[in-house]
Parts: sequence; structure tokens; C-alpha cells
Amino acid sequence: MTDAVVDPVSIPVPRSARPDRLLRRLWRHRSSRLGLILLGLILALVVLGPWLTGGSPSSDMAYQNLAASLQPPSAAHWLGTDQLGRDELVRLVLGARYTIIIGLGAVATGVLVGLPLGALSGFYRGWVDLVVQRLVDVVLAFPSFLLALALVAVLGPGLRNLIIGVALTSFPRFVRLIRAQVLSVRERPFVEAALALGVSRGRILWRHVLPNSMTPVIVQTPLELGSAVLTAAGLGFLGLGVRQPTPEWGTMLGESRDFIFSNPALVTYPGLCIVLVILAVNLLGDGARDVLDPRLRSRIKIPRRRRT
Amino acid sequence: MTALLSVRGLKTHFPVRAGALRRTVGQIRAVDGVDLDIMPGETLGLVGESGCGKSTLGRSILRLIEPTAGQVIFDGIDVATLDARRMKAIRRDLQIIFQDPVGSLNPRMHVGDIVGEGLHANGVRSRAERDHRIKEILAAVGLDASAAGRFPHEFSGGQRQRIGIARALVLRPKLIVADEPVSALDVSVQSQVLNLLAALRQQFSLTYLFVAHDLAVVDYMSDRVAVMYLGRVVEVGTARQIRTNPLHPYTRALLSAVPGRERQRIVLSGEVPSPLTPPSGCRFRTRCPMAQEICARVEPALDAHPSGARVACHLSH
Amino acid sequence: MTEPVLEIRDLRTYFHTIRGVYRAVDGVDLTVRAGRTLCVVGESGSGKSATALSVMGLIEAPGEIQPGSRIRFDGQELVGLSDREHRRIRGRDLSMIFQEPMTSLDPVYPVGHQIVEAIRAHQPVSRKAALNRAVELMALVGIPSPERRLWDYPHHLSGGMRQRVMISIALSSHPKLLVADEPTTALDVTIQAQILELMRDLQKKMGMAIMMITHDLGVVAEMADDVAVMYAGQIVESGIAEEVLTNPRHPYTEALLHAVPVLGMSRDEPLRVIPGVVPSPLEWPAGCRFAARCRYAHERCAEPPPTATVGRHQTRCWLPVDRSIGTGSATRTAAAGEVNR
Repeated sequence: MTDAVVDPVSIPVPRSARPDRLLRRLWRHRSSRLGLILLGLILALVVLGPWLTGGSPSSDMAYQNLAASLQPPSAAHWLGTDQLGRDELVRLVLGARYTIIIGLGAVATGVLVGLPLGALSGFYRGWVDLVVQRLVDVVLAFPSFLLALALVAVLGPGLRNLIIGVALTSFPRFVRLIRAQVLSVRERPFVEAALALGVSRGRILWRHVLPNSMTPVIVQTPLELGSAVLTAAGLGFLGLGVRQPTPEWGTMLGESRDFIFSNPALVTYPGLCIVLVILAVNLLGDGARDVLDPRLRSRIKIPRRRRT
Repeated sequence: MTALLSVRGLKTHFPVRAGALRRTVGQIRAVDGVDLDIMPGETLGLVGESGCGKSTLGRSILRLIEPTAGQVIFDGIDVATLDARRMKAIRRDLQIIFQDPVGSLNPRMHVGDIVGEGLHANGVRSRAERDHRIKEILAAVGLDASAAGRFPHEFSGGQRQRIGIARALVLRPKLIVADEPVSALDVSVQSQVLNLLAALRQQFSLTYLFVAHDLAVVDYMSDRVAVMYLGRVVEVGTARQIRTNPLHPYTRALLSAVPGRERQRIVLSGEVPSPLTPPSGCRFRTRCPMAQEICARVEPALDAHPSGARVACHLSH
Repeated sequence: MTEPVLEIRDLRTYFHTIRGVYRAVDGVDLTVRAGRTLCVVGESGSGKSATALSVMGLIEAPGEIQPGSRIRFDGQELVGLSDREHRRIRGRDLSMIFQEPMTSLDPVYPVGHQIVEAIRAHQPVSRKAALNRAVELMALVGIPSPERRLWDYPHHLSGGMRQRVMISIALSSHPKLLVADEPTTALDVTIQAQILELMRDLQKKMGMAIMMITHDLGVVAEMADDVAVMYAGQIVESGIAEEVLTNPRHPYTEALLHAVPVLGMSRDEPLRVIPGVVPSPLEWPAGCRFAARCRYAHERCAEPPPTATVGRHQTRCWLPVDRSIGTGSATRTAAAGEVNR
């Protein structure tokens, strides 16, 4: 109604999603800082991996050497060797590449496909909305892992197909997220103000609606990265991952399961790596939510609506 | 003198849908047959309680909400039926100031971009020209030129409302719909904004449709006042006539409800009926202390009264 | 003059935030007398709602009532009471109604159920007796055909009806003091007139004292026996309503009264403008908190002003102490107001 008097002790604190400030604010948040550090280390492995391990995946250390299979940790092989005599540490470091690339690729594809679909669907409504939403319903009707599995089985294994398969499971969530956001932002008064000025619809979507709809996407993206990594690892575990002998954590996990009792370390290492990635992105996601969502932020509040 | 804006028989209905098939089960008659004239340079106050349709009427005139029926003749052109391209050309003459000084400014845009957006949308492509006009209009509403480079959240409520006013004024419109422009502001800031609106009216020869629920504010700002009840105008007259000699029983009740005045109070019983099923005949009869049998049968027309006002009541003629 | 029901002395309610200490209420003295209505009037950010919540014991972390504050209600000190003890007083001798009745009512229960609950929370009566009492109360607050309304859910009722339900809940225990925080701000004028009349009527019948928080001087003129004007966490002027409204002694009260249009005011007289904005509760100015916006401001105002008392009329300002200060400086600041227009 009219005379709305602002809550006397709530001062709206502006927040911005501009990347530089966002990073700084994430860094100040305890849990997201830990997530950033972990993720930074993992990304460093991705970039520096081949250099750290002294060359390409086909270098001596990584190459199979059946005579030296399943060795315990030693000075030469810090984490020991696997069933084919390959250095476990080298394979883990190199494997980070593939796991992360699949995860990032899938999330990026999911955002690139989901964002425009969701935005158009929520902004223009009508038949666009109808078509997009039915498409999303169809995809979501299948258990997502099964869908990725089926797709990769049909397309065949390989990095690109893995990315497509995993992206297929994540893009509908982005569509729904951004659509819901756009639906609410398009009703905000500044959109009406732009309409009154004669601003075109496309420009309203681009300048007014999208920038104000991004917050949940930013929160969701790291979490989606976690689930993409998990899906990719699952596919690898089932033998639908990248081709041998390319090291990838899920595939490594799958290959070493025969030795789970005799040599449990071999399952533990890749498993631990996957857990670390998931942990990192979840910490980051939680931090991003705290930083960006004013309602959940711990600031001054006052209990106004309690019954007496 | 011909009117700058003539509204004739304007209706804005919202369908109410229900059930799995989203069938239309009724119409909310937010605006239900309104006639109004606004002369050039005049301020017409539009007053009424929440749900009476005053904000919907303002938005229907600007076609921010599409009217269901009727004519909106602005400067000789019926804008209610214009196509999108020609409507866009008219928009620069027809602007709006919003109630909510926080929500009506995009939090992610600089003030300069917010104010200059209308220029951009209306073909002022030169950056220098836009900057010049932004600076000029910011000064006119009492904001420093440095405001252009800042974000809305850096400003107080009153300053934000000035930004909203600058955005509406930058296109040099002829008519401004001011939709409750001060009701979200604190008392001490309200007067700043009201004085500013009055000064700008002079400076830019503006015509206002001033929509508000506060009768004292409307009375202060307006030359003439129209009173709305449940989608219809029940009385139009000069501000003085409405204040000193209200003819419609609803206007009288509204006037007596203004708190803090010494007078005989008319406390209306009951509440406003639903615009989904307005009462037959006169819409006010269910709360009217003077209602008669004829009021339920015949809907009173907004007829001229000897005093010069127009009033829709069987008992005032 | 009746005896005090509520006496607040040097109330300080601070909120500890990430940006510093937010001193919402900063040294408030107030007295509400039996059977009378005190209106606390102020703009947003003045601390008026935080004052009401402090009285109700509804301040939660990060808010804190500072040591040394005293709230004496009906002979009992409220500051320092445990939650349990506070709850026992709240809803029995001390009740509150809020601005937005929709959020104060539970949407999943019928209103009758909620009134019955409120009655039984403080009185040992049977369900049936409580139900009868609920019908009585609803009739008392002017809800038509209360027997039928009992089983309506809050969303079935209009804003005015919901506020009536809230009032019936608040009055179910015959409180000695009713705290009303902007009870009519969300309502239309004609409904506001109904609710204000109802409150006056009920006060006459039941004799409770009312402490009403509002930003609307019209409501003050309508309701108040006594008035306290709040600015920047402090009371700047208080006294008998009629006296304060007709003969304000604090420049803020005076300016506030001239800032709102009154019916029949000529368009040619511009409204009085109070330049600038309310200072931040994180850093109140050192001296008089209104000085920066005051048309009579003077060097002396850099020091905290004393409270001048004439009868029951109190003013926290240098001006009434030393009348000579005000004259002469008016022209200078009037020119400053011109610029701000």
C-alpha cells in the first residue's frame, strides 16, 4: 500500500555482481575463501599438470610398466603405481585436467544453452514459453544420470560427447532457474519505467531484466560444476569415460575397483580427489549465496511480526 | 481551449482465470467507464482509495496496461488504438513518475544511464548530446552533475525520487502522470518533492495528472480534482469546490476521514465491494448513508451540477 | 493527571552490525499515563518502532537494550527480565498491534482459533468459554456476524477486518497498556477513520492506556492526549498534544507541522522544506542532532542541548533556553532552504 514506512532499523545495503567486487567479497567470506583456495589449487593442477609431471601423458613415468605394477609408495613413485605400473600421482595430476574440463565444459554448455532459453521463455511468455517448458519437462522426466549414460552410449565415449551428455542433464535446471528469475524481474517497476520511455523489448531484456536476474545463476554455477564432475566420474567409472589410457578420475576409480581389497589406496586417491572438488564448489556456492542473497545475510534484523 | 488529454468511456478489465483449463470466470473491472479532460497547463488531481482504479487509469492512459475499451485522445490522436511504432513516437510527450523510489530505478545502472535511457530510445545517438541533456535535467531537479556516475543506492529516498522525475522530464514531455509520487517518502522529504514538482510545472509548462490517496496533498497540488470510487469517477470539480462544497456523499466521507481536522465526522460503514461484482446501480450505495431505492436500480451518470462541478449521484441533482 | 503506567528512562537500544553500532534508540524518556493515549511521532529511522519493541521485550540479537536503561511498567522493571517472564506480562497486561495485520496472523488457522488461543494462553478457561468470549470480542471490535466470521481464514478478511481481529486478540486479556505500531498506516483513509474511532471507543470502555507509534501528524491530532516527537533516536519534544501541536517549541516539530499540506492551503505558499536527510544512526552528530537541518541553528548547537521544561512541555533544544539565539538567523537559513528547493 501507500504510506509504507521503511523498517526503522533495516538499512538496505547495496550489492553488486560485478566480478571484481564479487571475488573480493567471496574472499572475505570464510567458507568461500576455502573453496576458492581449493579450486585454485585444482585449477593450477589442470594448467600446470603436464609441466609438473615432466611432459605429456605418454612420458616414461606415466607409461605402463607391468613389471612395476601395484607398488607401494616410494621415492620414485610417491603414491605408488597402479595395476599397469603407471605412477599414481602422475595420473591423478593429469586426470584433474580431464575431470575439470568435462565439468567446466558441461556447465558452460548448460549455461550457454539454458540461459537464453530460460530468459526468452520467461520474458516473452506465450508459445515460446510453452515450447521451452515442454522440452525441459521431457528432459527432466528421465533420471538425469540415465539420460547422460544413454546419450554417451549412443554417441560413443570421448571428451566432446561426455561434455554434451553431462550438459544435457544440467541445462534444464538453468532454464528453470533463469526463467523464474526473469518472470519476477520483468514485473519490477523499473521495467515499466523503461516501457514508458519507449525502450524496445529486446533492450529491456538485455539491459534491465538479465543483469538483475543473474544472482541465482552465479550461486548455482559452482554447485552445478560439482554435480557435473560427479556425473562425469560416474560415467567414467562405468567405462563410458574418456578413452584409455587417458587418465580421468572416474575411469581410474572404475579400473582400480578390482583391487579394492588388495590395494585399497588405488580407489581412495581418485575418490578423494572427486570429494575435494565437490567440497570446494559447495563451499564456494554457499559463500556466493551468503554474499549475494541479502535475505540470508547475517545483518541487523529485528523481529517485527511476532504475535504477542 | 481544447483539452490536451480527453479520456472517453475508458475501461480496463482484467480477466480472472480459474481451474485447470484457465477458463475466464470473471472480470475485475478496475477501470469501468471513465471520462476525463485535462486542459493544457492544468493539474488534475485523481484521488481515491486503494483498489478504486486510479493507478490503473494512469497506466491505461500511457498504455502500460492495455485498456479494454474506450478512447484516450492526446493532442488530437487516439492513442488507445495506435500501433507500436506510432505509440513509441507519442511516448516522449507522455511520461510517468512512479511511487516507489527504490523499485523504479534499475539498481545495476548508473544514474546517468537511467536518466539518459529515454534519449537513447528516442534516437539521440550522440553521447555528447545525451550527456549534456542529462546534466541539464539533473540540475533542474536539484541534483549535482556528479550524480550521473553513481548508482541509485547511493541516494536517499527523496533524491531517488528526483532521479525518477529527471528520467521522465528529460524527453520534455507535455503530460506527466504522477502516480503517488510522494506517498513512499518521509514527511520532511515529501515537501521537498512537492515543491519541486510545482516548480517544474512552471519551468517546463507541464500538465499533470496527479494521482494520490491523500486528499490534502491532491488539494494542494491540483487545479481540479476527480474522485474515483470502484472504477468510476464520482465527482469532478475545482479543488476549491471539492474541498468546500463536496457534492457526492463519498467525497464528503473522504474529506471527513482526513485525520486531524475539526469537523463533523462521517464514518462510512463497511468496506469497498469487490470490483469483480460491483453493486447494481450506484456503486457507492452499499456504503452510502443516504442511499435510496432508485440508487440500486439506475446507475447515475456524471452530470453537470449548477455549481460547475460534475457529479454522479441521484441525490445531488 | 493520572498516574503513570509506563515509565521509560534513558532507554538505549543498540544494534551491533557489521558496519558498527547502530544506535536506534539513544536515551529516550517517556511516560504513558493510565487511560491516556501517548503518540510517539517521528519519521522512519527515528527509532520509534525500536522503542515500542523494546517495551515489548521483542528486541533480539544483534539488538540489545543497554545497561542503565529502565522500563518500568505497572510497578515492575522490564529491562533484564527473562524471555519467559516477559512473555507472561506480554499478552496479559501489555499487548501490541502491528502495522500489517496479515503478517501477524497465522495464515493456516481460522481467526476464531487464533483468538481462542490468545485467550487460553493467559486465562484458565475452557475451550467453549473461550469461544464465547471470542465471539464477544469480535462483536466488540465491530466485526459483523462474528459467529460466522470465527471460521474465516485471515486471507478471507479485508485489511480493516484483519486489524480488528488483531485488536480483539490484543484486548482479550484486558491489558493495562496497548502498544500500537502504525496500526492504520497500511489502511485506506475511510478504513483508518473506522479503526481510529474504534480504538478511541474501546479505550473509553476498557480504560487501557495506549502508546501509539505513528508518522502521521493527522493521526496524532486525532488520537493523542500526550505526544512525544522523536528525532534521531531521541525525544526532542513532548507534552500535552494540543499544546505541542498548536505551540511547538522545537524547530523540528515546527518544521514538520509546516511541511505537510493541510486542506485549503493555497498553492502559492510553498511547503516548508526541511533540508538534508536524517543523520545515520551509526554516527549521530555530537551536539544537537537536528542542527544540520535547522533554520535556527547557531554555534551553541554544537553542544548537546539541555531539556527545557515548562509545565509538562519538554523541549530538547537551546532555543527555548535562550530566545535571543533564534532571531536574526532565520533569514540566513531561509535562503538555504530556497537553494534546496
